[in-house]
Amino acid sequence: MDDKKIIELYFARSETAVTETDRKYGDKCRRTAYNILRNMQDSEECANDTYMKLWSVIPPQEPNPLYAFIMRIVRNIALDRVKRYSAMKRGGEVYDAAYDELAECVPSKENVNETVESAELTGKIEKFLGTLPREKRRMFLMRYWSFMTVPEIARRLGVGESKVKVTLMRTREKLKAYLEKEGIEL
Amino acid sequence: MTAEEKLIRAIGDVKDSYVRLATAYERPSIIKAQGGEFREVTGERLPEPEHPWLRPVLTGGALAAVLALVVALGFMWGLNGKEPDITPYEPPVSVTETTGVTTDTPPVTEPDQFPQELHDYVIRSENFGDSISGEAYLRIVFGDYYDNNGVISVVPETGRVEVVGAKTDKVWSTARFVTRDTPTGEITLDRDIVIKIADYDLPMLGAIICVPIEGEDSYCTTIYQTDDYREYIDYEPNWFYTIKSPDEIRFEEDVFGFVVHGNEHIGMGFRARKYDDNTPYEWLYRGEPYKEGMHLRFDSFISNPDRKLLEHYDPDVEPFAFAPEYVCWEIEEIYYDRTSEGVFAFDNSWIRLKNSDEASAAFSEFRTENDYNRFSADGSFNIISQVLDDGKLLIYAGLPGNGVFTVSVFVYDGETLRQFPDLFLHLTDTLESIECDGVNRLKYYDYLAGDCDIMLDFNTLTYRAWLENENETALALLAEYAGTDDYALPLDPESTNLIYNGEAFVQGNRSYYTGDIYSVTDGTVQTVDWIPGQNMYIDILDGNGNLWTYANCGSIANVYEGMEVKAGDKISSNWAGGVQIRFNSPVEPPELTEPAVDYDMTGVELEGTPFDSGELNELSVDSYIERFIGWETEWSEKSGQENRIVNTGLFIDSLGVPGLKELYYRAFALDYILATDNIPDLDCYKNSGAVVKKPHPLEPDYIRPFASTGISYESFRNAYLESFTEDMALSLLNNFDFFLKYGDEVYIVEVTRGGDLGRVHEEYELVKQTDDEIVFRKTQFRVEVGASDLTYHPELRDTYERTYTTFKFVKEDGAWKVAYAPEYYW
Repeated sequence: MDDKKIIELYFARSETAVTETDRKYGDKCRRTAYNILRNMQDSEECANDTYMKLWSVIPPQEPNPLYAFIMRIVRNIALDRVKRYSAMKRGGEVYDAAYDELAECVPSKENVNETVESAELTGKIEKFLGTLPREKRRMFLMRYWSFMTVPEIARRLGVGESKVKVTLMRTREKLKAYLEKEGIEL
Repeated sequence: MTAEEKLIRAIGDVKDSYVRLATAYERPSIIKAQGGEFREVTGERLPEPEHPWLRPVLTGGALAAVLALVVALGFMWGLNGKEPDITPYEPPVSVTETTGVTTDTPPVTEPDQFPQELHDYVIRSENFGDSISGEAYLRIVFGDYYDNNGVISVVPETGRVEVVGAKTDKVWSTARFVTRDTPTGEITLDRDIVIKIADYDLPMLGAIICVPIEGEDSYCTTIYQTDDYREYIDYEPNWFYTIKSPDEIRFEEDVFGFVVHGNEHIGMGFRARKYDDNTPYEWLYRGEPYKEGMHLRFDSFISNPDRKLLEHYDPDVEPFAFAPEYVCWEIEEIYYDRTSEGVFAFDNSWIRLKNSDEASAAFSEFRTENDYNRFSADGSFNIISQVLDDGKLLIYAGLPGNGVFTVSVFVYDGETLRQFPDLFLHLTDTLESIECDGVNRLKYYDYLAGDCDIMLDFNTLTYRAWLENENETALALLAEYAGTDDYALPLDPESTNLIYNGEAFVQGNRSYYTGDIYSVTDGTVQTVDWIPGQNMYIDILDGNGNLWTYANCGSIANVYEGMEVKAGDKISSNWAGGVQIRFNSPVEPPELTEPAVDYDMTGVELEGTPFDSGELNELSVDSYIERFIGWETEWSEKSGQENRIVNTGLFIDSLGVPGLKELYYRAFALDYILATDNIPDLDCYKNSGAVVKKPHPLEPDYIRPFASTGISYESFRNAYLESFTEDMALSLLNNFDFFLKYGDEVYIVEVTRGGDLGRVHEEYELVKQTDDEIVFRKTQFRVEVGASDLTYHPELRDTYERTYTTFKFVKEDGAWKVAYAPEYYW
C-alpha cells in the first residue's frame, strides 16, 4: 500500500492504518530501534509506541514522506528509552559508544559565541554533511543516525573496519572544526 | 540535555534523504541459484561434486557430517493443498504408512557402527512426475562445520542408497527409507514429495535435494530435527522462500545447505552468530507456498552446532521486505490479439505465469489507462504493458510486497516473448511509475538508488543503466542488476583511484555460479582487492583507457596486479561473480605532480614561528625502523601472534636479493609515517610549535591544522623517491590528508591509523621473480576484529577470512624500488 493510502486510513481513523504501517515499515522500525537498544523486545515495544504516536498525530499532520517521519519518531522513542536504560546501567552500549565519540565533536568553549537551537544546529549539520563525500556522509549517518556498529557499517559498505574507524574519526574532527568555525555552542 | 545529546537529536532531524541513507540497512544476503548449481561462498574451492548439480553444500571446507539421523522417505500427498501425510516413525523394526503399505525393514546399524559401504536400500524413482519420466536422483545432505561427510544419495542406476563418508563417531541408528507404494521402495515422484524424518533420538539438520535426470523440474526439502522436535519442510513449484534476519543473529554468508527447484534456489541454511557471545549457530530457512492474497509465511529455525533447537521464530512474522526478489516471474504463455494497425488489442489477450498456480496465472481482466495495460487476476500481483513506437509490447511484471515491487521486464514482438534475464527493477510506487520513451529507454525511481535510467537492447536482451550522478548505492544496485548482491564495488575514488564521471553501465552478463569469469577485454589488472567477509573485485584497464570492474569475484587465486590479460582469459579459479561493470569514461590516471613545490598555499594561516631552513633536520627513519621492528617482535612474543612485518621481511630475505628486506622495512616505515602520528617518534623530529591551518584542497570548507616537524621537506621527499618508484612516491606525497610543505619544512596532521586487529596468520606466495621485477602475494588469515583469540589454529584454517595483498618491487637504474604495496596491509 502506498503512503498516501496509509495516511488516508489514519485520517479515516481506520485501525488498518496501523496494520498497514507495520506491514510496510515494521521491519525498519524494529531495526532502527534495535540499533539503539540492542534488545528485540524493547525494539518491538518502540515500534508499537511509534504506531501509537502516528495514530495521535495523524491527523492533523499529513507527513510526506511518511517513511522519514516514522523513522524519526522511532529513533526518538528509542533514544528516550536508551537514555533511561543508561541511567539504570542497562544496555545501550552501542549508543553509549556513539555518544562518547560525539563528545569529540563538541566545540571548545573558547571558540563559540552563540548557543543554537536544535533546528539551527540540524541545519548546520546538514550543511556540513553536504560537504562530505557520499561514502563518508553515509558512514557518519549510519553511525550517528542509525547507531550501527563499526563492523556493521564496514560490512554494509564493503570496506574495512579500519577505514570506517579512520573515516569516522576524521569526520568527527571535521565536524568539530566546522562547528567551531561557525561559532556554535551546544 | 548534554551537548552530545543535542548533537544526537540534531543529527536525527536531518533531511529526509539523509534519513533514507542512514536507514538503508543491510539486506540479508540473497543467493540465487541457476541451473541447479550452487554457489560456494567463501574460502578455497571445494572438491568437485560427484554430479554437477550437487555441489558441496558447506563452505570454506567446513562441510557437513552427519550427526546421526534416520530418514524415512514417505511421499507425495495429493495435488494442490492436501496436507502431507506424515506418520511419526516408531522404532525399531518396521513402518506402516497410512496407506497401509508395509515396507521392508532395512538393516539397522548399531551406534558407532555407521557403515562406510553402500546400503542396499532400494529406492527407485522411475517415474518422476506426470510430465517427466526417468529415474531421479535423491540426495540428502547433512552437514556440520568440520568435514565433508554425510552425504546420502540414491544411485539412480541401481536404486541403492549411497552413503558417502559418513562419520563413524556418530550414532547412525536406523537409517530407513520408507515408501508408500511398494516394499521395494519404488517411488513415484508425482507433483509432491514428502521427506519424513523417522529418527527419534538424534538431531539432524540438512537439506534434501531431488533432481531428476535430464528433468525439467525438481523437488527439494530441508529438514531439521532435535530430540524433542521434528520438522519437515517441503518445496513445491509454487512455494516461496523468504529469509528474515532476527536481530540477535548476525548473518554470515556461509551456506551449508541448499534447496533448489529447477532454476530457482528456494531454500538454504546459513551460519549465523550471536551478536553478544559470538556463538555460532546454524540457521535454516524454509519457504512457504504462495497463497492467495500475497501471503508469505516465514519460518526459521536456529540451532547451535550440536543441533539443539534453540529458538523457533514465529512463523507468522511479516515477510521480509525483499522477499519478492525471490520470485522470478516467468511468463509461460502469452496471447495477444493484434489489430491491423499494429497496435495490440487486449480484449482476448492473456498471459500465463509459469510460476503461478492456475487460478492466478491466467489473466483475463485488464484495463487500459494512460498507455498502460494492466492485467489483474486476484489482485496479488500486477502486470502492465506498454506498446512501443515500433509495435513491440513491453511488459513489466511485478509482485508487491511490503511496499516494494520487484519487476521483471519482458518484450513481445507479436511472435516471440522474451525476458530480460538479468533485469529486475525495484519500485516502491506503482508499475506505472516506470516511464518508457516508446523506444528503449526506461526511467524510474528505484527505492535504493533513486533515479535510474536504463536502456534496453532488444536484440541481446542486455541493458545499460545510466546514473544521473555518481551514487554508491546506485552502483551497488547495478551490481545487483547484474546478478550479485554483494556491494564489493570500488566506489570510493579516493581509495581505489577509480575515476568515473557518473556514467556507468553494467554489462548484463550474469555468469555467476559458473565457476569462472573471463576477461572481456585485453588489458592490465589494476587492482585486486579482497574485502574481508565479502568478495574480491578486480579492475582491468583496457587499451582504450576503460576500466572494467569485476565485482563479487569470490576468491581468486591466479590474478595479481599488473597482470596482463587478454579477452577471453580465464581470470578466476574459483566461483565467480562474473559481473562486469565498465565505467564508461576513459580512465585518466591521476596527474602526478610535485605536490609540495606547487602546493597552493592560498588561505594558509600560520600560528607561531616556523624554523628557518638552516634549523631543519634531515629525515631519518633508521632508528625508527629498529624500534618498530623491536616493538613488533615484543608484541608478537607477548601476544603469541605472528609478526607480520618480520614475517614479510623473512620471506623477502628468502628471495635472495640483497638489500630487499631493508628496502621493505624502510618503505613500510615511510608509508606508515604518512598516515600516522609516528613522526614525533623519529629522532629527527622537533617542533617549533608553529601550526599551519590550511583548507583541504578537496574540501575547502574544512580547515585543518598541520604541526611543525622540524624536518626538511627536501629530505622527506628524497626519502620517498629513494624507496619507491617515482609514481608511487608521488602518489603517496600527493596525499594531502597527512602533511604539507610550508617553507622548506614538512608539517603533519596527527591522525592515527586503525590497527590491524583481526590478523592471525600470514602466508606468502611468489608470483614472479626476474632480474628486475619481483611480485609476491601475501595472504592474511583473519578473524573478526575484537575476537579474543588472535592465535592461529591450523585446524580452523578454512574458517578464517582471507585478505590477499600484492607487493611489487622493480629495479630502476640499478636500484630496487617498491612499485606497489597495498595501503593498510603491509
